[in-house]
Amino acid sequence: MSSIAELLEEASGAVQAAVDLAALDAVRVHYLGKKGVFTAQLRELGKLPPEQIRAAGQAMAFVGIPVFLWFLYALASGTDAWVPFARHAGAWYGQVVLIGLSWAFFEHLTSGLRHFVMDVGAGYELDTNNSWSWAVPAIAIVLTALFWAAINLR
Amino acid sequence: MGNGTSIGRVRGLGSSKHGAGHWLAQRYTAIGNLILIPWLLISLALLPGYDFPTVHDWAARPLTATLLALICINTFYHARLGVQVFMEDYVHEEGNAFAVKTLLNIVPLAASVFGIICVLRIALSATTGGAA
Repeated sequence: MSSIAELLEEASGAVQAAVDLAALDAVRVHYLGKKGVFTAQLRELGKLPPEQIRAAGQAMAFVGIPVFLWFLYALASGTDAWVPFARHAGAWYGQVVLIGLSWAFFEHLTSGLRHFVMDVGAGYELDTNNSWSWAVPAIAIVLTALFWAAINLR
Repeated sequence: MGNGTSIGRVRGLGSSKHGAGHWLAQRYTAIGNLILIPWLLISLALLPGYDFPTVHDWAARPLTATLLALICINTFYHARLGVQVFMEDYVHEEGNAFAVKTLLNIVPLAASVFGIICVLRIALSATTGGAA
């Protein structure tokens, strides 16, 4: 992956050098086609371990747990503590935090399940791994949307 | 350094010999979270409203309180393990690393105890009059 800058330079040189549309198309196929140079680089991404699991996990540890404890504290303390909690949670910024947290949870859940599969030594084939690398965040977004749809359509 | 020489071992360099246990604990608690957190989200989504009596009556049920307390133990411990790995990877300066380790041995436990005390208070308080 270290050669991306060189590749970019090489590619822009090739675009400059293309004399007609056919030559330009050949450049496109060479770099961006199905077996193209950049495409091959992009496919390498799928082989990376799911790093996003960390970001989502840290977000929940540092934001999710304090929010959860505030929720419990408000419930334990009575209406006087519950009302401000509910007001903040229902305000636009509270909703942003809660939607973000639920998204972080589903992201952590789906990439965690991917971790489990890879821990037992499965799913390392390039195509399989590649499809999971985009399916995992996509599933997380769908689950987040379903969750908030369920809350708002009650 | 720490290549099995006696001074290396004395200094605690190299493997702590507890890495596998940490790794497994993270997976076992993850399985617990796989049940606890979807339960929490689905239960919250199914509540008829978010006013104090409704949510309080739900949280005060014995089964709900048990699961909420388990979140305070299992999920918080899972988070502690995750933050530990994250800090070990990114905090290298010795003083900061020591401060982080100290906090990791205080804050998660304090958070768990605080959460459990809150859950107990909810569970043992007089019901607010719902169909509890």
